[in-house]
Amino acid sequence: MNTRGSTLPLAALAAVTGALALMFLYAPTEGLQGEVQRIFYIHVPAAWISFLAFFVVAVASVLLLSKRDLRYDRIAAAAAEAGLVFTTIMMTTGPIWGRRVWGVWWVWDARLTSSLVLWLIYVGYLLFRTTTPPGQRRARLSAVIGIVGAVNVPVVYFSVFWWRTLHPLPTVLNPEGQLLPAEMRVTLYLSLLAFLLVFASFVVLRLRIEDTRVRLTALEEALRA
Amino acid sequence: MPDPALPFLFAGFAVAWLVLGGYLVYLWRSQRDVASRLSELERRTAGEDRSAQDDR
Repeated sequence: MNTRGSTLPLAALAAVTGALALMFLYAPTEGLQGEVQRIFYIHVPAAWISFLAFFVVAVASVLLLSKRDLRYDRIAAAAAEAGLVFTTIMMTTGPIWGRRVWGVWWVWDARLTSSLVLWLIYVGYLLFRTTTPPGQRRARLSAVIGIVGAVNVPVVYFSVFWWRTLHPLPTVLNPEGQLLPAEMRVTLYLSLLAFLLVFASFVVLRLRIEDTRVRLTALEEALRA
Repeated sequence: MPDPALPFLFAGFAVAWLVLGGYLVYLWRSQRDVASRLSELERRTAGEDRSAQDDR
């Protein structure tokens, strides 16, 4: 791997190490929930990064539909795949925390259900891509699914305001102001930065693989001709 | 007495890092496979070019 290519993963690794140190050595233990509250430093950034990923999918999908450039399709697919990884983290760490704090793994409340729908839409998006031959048709239909999926993101975010849910209200982006102590906030922000760098590394790596695959397909077609 | 929440904390972190690590391994293997197929094909085409020149 060249120096330019390894800068982002190295920065991600450094940020992850720093975030882990803050999570266990700096952030105080929450009085009511105890140690299990530290899952919050993974669960919340994973949720935010998944929202960002699906926003990238939506923007790239709109650009694909307007410009018909397959590069945007590759960007959307890379962001969707990484977004699904972070949604999976959100969907697994949440119930583990919920089992300890609520006493149940899962409730069919608006936040949890809409998050599950979001996860399923992007599983469907990626399944559709793997079962359909590459080309303009797949790119256009994927873009439509990607845009429909992204519409669900605001529903997930505002579900706790629109409906009565067991899921807590946001503690950082809360309309009533900041609810987190400074040490917890700093830890959360560093964790968010770490996840952002990991997400960017995943997308860059995925795009590099897709670029190589495009060159490979072109070479195979040239040989066949 | 250890905190009874510790297994949950451990499970939460373990699952998160397994998912991230698993995806990273998947990406790494995909990159290796595609790159090796490409270099093999390039080697083969370079060999065919050379033999075509020799024939001429």
